[in-house]
Amino acid sequence: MNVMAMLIRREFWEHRWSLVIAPLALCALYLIFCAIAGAGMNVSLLKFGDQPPMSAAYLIVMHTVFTIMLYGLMAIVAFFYLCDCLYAERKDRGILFWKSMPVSDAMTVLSKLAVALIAIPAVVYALSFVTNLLAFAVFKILFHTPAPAGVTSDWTFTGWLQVNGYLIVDILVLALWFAPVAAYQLLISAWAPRAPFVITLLPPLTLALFERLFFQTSHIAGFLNHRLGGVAFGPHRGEGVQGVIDAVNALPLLAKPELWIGALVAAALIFVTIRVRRHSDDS
Amino acid sequence: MTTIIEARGLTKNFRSTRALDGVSFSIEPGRIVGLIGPNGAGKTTALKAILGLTTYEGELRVLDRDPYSDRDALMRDVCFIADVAVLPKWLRVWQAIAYVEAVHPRFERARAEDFLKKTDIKMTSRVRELSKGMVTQLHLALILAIDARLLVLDEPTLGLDLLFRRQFYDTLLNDYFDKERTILLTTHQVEEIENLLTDVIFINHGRIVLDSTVEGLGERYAQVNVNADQTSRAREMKPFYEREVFGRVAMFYEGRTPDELARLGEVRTPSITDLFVAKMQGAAA
Repeated sequence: MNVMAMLIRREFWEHRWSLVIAPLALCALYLIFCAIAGAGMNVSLLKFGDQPPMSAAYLIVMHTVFTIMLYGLMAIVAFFYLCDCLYAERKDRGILFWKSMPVSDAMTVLSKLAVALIAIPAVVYALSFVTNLLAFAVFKILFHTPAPAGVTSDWTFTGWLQVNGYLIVDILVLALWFAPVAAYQLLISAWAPRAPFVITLLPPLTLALFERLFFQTSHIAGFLNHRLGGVAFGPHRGEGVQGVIDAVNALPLLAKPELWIGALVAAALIFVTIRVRRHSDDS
Repeated sequence: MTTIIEARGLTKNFRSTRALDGVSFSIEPGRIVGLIGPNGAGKTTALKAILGLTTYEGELRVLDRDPYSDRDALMRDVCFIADVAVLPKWLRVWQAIAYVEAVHPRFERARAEDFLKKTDIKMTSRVRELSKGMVTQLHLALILAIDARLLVLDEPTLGLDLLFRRQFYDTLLNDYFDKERTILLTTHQVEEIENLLTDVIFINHGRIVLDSTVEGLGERYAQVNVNADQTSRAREMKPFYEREVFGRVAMFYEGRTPDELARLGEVRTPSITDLFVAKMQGAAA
């Protein structure tokens, strides 16, 4: 376990700019933005509907926009990380050093998978949690924003805990959901003789285009869209607080066979990737 | 003590070319073995097979393990410096030490730090900020702190200046090598390691041309600086190679006794460098 922890730490050293500095910078920018807004500057951007500029509703919209930006940024980071992680070590010949250490190829490949599927989402969750708390504090201190009726009044501590509990469990559920995508990328990264980004995108794009041109259908594009973005967790049951809690609960996904089929595909791809990594050196 | 490396009929094909062609040799503990050959002779391929970096045909046991399927376990007992360029450029010195400490059960941090204190390397430096010589020092510091049984060096001093090269081998001999350990190395700069080696293996076109202890060379090979009037008689004795330097002809013999050769001129044991050239040129002729 000690070894796995170090392998994951190693990735954060190598990809410090994208995994650490980029999300921190985004959080810092957001907080500065909040502080400027908090200093009472009249920024026209800050007008939100007919709400007064510094209302709690406004704060919630800002939170949502920021969180989506952070998740979006880190999704892009994870994509490029997966393209690069098993390719760069062959390119810079560092693989000869890494392979001179008593670390198995399975451990290495799994550590990179864990960074993309567990570590990056965990960082995103922790950062958005802390940043939103800080932003809330900024608003609270600078504006004494009163608890607005109808927006937060029915929030209880239990409800808040529930949402955060789900967000943490979601990391694991979504790791399973996205595992086949990450595993496919790792395989390309381990195998590609050059340009792993292009080689990653080429097969799905070509297939989707081919289908569109020759069959006038878009099953492949639809399938990819569903796997990559269109995932709906479960039926929205409640309104208000319950609606929010339902919206972040990914557990219903576990009941879908496609999640488990995807996980099996991922396991097979990872197995192949480990074989490829075992065979690769600097040539 | 067991044999460190045992190869039987080691063969490796790359598409149409045969990099290793049924190579057999064994390396015993406590030896310093030079694997010497021209470019493309199969040296690096042989080392890669030994380190579990490539597949092969034939039989190969390293420390009684199959290197390809058992690489990670094998690397607990084997250290390896490919050449100066393999430490990742982004890695910082303290990170390299922390990493090896975490993944290597036989690493002793204090030893690495002591060695680095004697150099100009700073803990916070990145590999890309270090000179080639300093990168080698860093890699050496990591290796010296690992209690391994076999050290494999592939052109470890390529591109280093003379001072660093000399220091590298001195450190290796004084601080690393002992009776329990074995070193296998390849290099182009044969002159530099001549006095270091206990064994030599010459390899050419994927085959072993010579495999001997350094002491054994004197019994098998002789170089005669032939007297001018003896040249034709010397040729009749079938040297496998001859060359002319400053008007004197040096001829190289295999399996001739000193008594037979003494009449021809001054008899001596050829240097490894000369013997290497003689073997390679002789084979080509």
